[in-house]
Amino acid sequence: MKRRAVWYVVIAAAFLLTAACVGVKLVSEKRAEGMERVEAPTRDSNRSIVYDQERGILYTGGHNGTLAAYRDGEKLWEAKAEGAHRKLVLGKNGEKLYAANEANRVYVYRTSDGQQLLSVNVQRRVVGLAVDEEESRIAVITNTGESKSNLIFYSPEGEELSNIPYTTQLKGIEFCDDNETLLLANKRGEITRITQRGEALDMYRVNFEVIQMKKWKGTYWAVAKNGIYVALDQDLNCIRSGKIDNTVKAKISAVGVDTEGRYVLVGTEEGYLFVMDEKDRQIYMADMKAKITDTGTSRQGIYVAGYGDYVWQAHADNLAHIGLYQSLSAAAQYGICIFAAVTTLGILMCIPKAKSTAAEFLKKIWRYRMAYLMLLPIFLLLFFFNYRGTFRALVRAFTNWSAGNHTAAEIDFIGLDNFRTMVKEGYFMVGIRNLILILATNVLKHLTVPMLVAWLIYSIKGDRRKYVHRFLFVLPIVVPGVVGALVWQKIYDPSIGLLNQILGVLHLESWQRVWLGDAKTAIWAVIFMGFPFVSAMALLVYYGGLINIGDDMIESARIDGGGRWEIFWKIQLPMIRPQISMIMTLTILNSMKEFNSIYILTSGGPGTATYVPALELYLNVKQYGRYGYASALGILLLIATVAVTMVSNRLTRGKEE
Amino acid sequence: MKQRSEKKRKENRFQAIIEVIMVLVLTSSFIPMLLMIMMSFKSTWEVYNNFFGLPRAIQWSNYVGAVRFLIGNMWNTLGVVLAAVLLTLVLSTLGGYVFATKTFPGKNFLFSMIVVTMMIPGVLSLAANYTLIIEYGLLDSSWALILHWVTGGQVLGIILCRNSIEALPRDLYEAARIEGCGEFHLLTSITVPLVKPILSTVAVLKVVDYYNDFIWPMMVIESNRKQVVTVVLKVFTSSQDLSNVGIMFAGYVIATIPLLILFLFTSRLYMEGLTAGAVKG
Repeated sequence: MKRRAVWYVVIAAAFLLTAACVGVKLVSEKRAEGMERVEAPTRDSNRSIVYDQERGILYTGGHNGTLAAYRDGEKLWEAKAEGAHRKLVLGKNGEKLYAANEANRVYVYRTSDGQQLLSVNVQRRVVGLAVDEEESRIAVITNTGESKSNLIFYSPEGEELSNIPYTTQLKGIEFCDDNETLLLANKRGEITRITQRGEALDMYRVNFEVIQMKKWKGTYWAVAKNGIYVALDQDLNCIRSGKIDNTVKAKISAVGVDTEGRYVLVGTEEGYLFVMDEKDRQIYMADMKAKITDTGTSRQGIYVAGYGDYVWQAHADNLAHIGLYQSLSAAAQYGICIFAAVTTLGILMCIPKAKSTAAEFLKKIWRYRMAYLMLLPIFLLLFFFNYRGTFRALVRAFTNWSAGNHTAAEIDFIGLDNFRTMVKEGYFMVGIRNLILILATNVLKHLTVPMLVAWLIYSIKGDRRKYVHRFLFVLPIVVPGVVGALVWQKIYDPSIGLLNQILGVLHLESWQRVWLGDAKTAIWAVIFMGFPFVSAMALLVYYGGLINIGDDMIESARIDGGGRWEIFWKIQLPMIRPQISMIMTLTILNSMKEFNSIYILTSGGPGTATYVPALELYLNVKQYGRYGYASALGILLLIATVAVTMVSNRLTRGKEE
Repeated sequence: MKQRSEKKRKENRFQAIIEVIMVLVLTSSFIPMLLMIMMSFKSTWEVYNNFFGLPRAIQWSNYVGAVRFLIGNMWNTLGVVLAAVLLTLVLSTLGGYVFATKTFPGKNFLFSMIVVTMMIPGVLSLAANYTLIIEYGLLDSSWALILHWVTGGQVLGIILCRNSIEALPRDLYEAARIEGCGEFHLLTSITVPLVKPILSTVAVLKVVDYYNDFIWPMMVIESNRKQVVTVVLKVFTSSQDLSNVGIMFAGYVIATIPLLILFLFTSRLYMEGLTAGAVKG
């Protein structure tokens, strides 16, 4: 009785621990999401952003001139201009939005409805812009060459007030708090405090090209080409400075800071972003897969925009402890597994019958432990490199899983959408058409030539000659498949290709083609590859079948007056039917998943002329990163494989009976 | 008598026809190989102006250039392939031995769990396996190749080894056990020597398989130094214009040499391996 009570306590404790672990997992998983995707679709690549903290509005400026305003993922308005919006600046009370546009213009928009208030023609490429507190002057910097820049002041009505030329590229401009002086950053790595007439008052040297300078609450943050960033006050005293650990040698492209000015974010052209804490230690690095172009300070962190239709928010507080939460989440996961197992085990143990069967089962397992131990490495490999992947593919084929969203929080089930996309996009349909052609020709190729050759070798006289011929016919398979495809690519080459050269010698110049570059001939060139199609495997299998037919059978047929032709059709061919059906099955299965040679010859081109489903699958994994879609294609291939195998099994079994 | 010589003449004519057809088919199937070798000895000028002729002066410099850009990767590839094949053989023997000589609960289930992986096309889990490799931290590591290859390659090995050990006389193992032979000893000094022929077939087959792999290394290996020969050749070919044609073809020839050597020494096993590979389905 007492033992039973102990069991109950154990079960209860294990159950509570399971629940606790689930709780920890949920909390830490949320905290471990350092980067959160913000819904702000514009169908344009983002070039610049700015965030109005008071009103909670995010403005994005696109590479193709789209300007959009969002509040909580809801689009307020959208405006369109000519060139890329290089920089966005909000007026003092957030009523006006100033946009520096690379198509030689400065625009002013009303933030309430996106109405364009002003458009100034600067006549030079605008790269930066600043507005003073009273919005009485707009300072614009422009670049017109490697070492020619101008600083131009405009009135709120768009009249040019003054124009100061510089002989170095200007990189950033911000007004100081006194509204009279400005800070100017340039390519030489100098940050200068100047008056509005251009007189230099003071200078701070960063010594490396300044990439971007941003003002946040009276502090000026600048990042230089070598990954050094500095925080200056308006008197050019250095408050903070640090350097990112740029082991990936990325090119710096942007800098950002959070509301309290504690965390600094540095973005790069390669898409890597780095986050530094208040002590200038690097706490986080991530790959956003697209050039980071601008940052904006949000309420909880830093917005990051890049060359892609997306905005991310870096939760700086979370980033500081992301390692901790990630390991916590992982530990909680193990906890859940262990404690849940203990709970179920405990419950099972309370049922007397289950207890005795379980004990017996465990005893049995223990008795054969040696066998299991020896199989362990095999199944470990299978688990980590086969079962897990297969399971993941089968499940995630029904999700929007991609290179951009691959955490559990981001993946959503989308039902059969991936399969619908196949029909809608059309690449798959083109692929199927090509595949049918390839399947048909492959079946034909494997039926005819290897059969002929096998029969010829069979009919030849003398064992030695037989062996030599078999050897020679199999020899070409020492050429690796990739090399074979590359050589055939050269055979089809328009200028030094064997095919066109032969046509040239025969004076058939009009027949010469760019075989792989012409949509009409490309697929046939792919099919013709490997001429004369002596498949070594099919040859050996057919030959094996032929020599297994009893000699007496052939002999008696010959005595009956049958010719070679007749014997072949009436006796030999029917006798090697199992071999033929095996080769056919293999040919079909291999043709469905083979895409190496097509990838090498044409990569699916020109256009989509030589697409096949397996190639589309590969391209979606490696080039487009659409993992869910690729897995859906994989499922179709799996279904086809299983179907073909089942049909062929049914056929061969039917024959045996 | 007359009839007999008539028959003989007919037979000779038939043999002659066969020979002619065979030579025709053989020559055309050797065209890519011959082309490759011819081109590898020509200078770029000759490729353009003396396409069909024999090389006037053999350009060994092509091979010097090809060796220079290929040799590091060649050694690397051979090392990785060899390591993977050895591991495959170890696991095949182990699995074949356990499934052939032991009875234990779940034996059939476990065996079918191994066999069923042959039914699943590898491309199904291409994306999944790629992301898993990243999660395991194996991206750009040779282990990503070895473990992936062995996982797939061991299956055929286990099946073939099981069949061949099951064909051994039953009392062999019983006698050895009665003599007091330990499990390890049974495996290394009795099983391995007896299944050597089948192991060599598996080895030859897998060397060819692994050496020919192209897509998987292209996906998981990023640094040029660790890349395998097939991918390096493809990258080299697409990055060059046609001014380096000779070096390109010399590279193709060099990449063919390891398999050629293997074939010359083990052609019987190679052919057997091919048909065994076919029978696995």
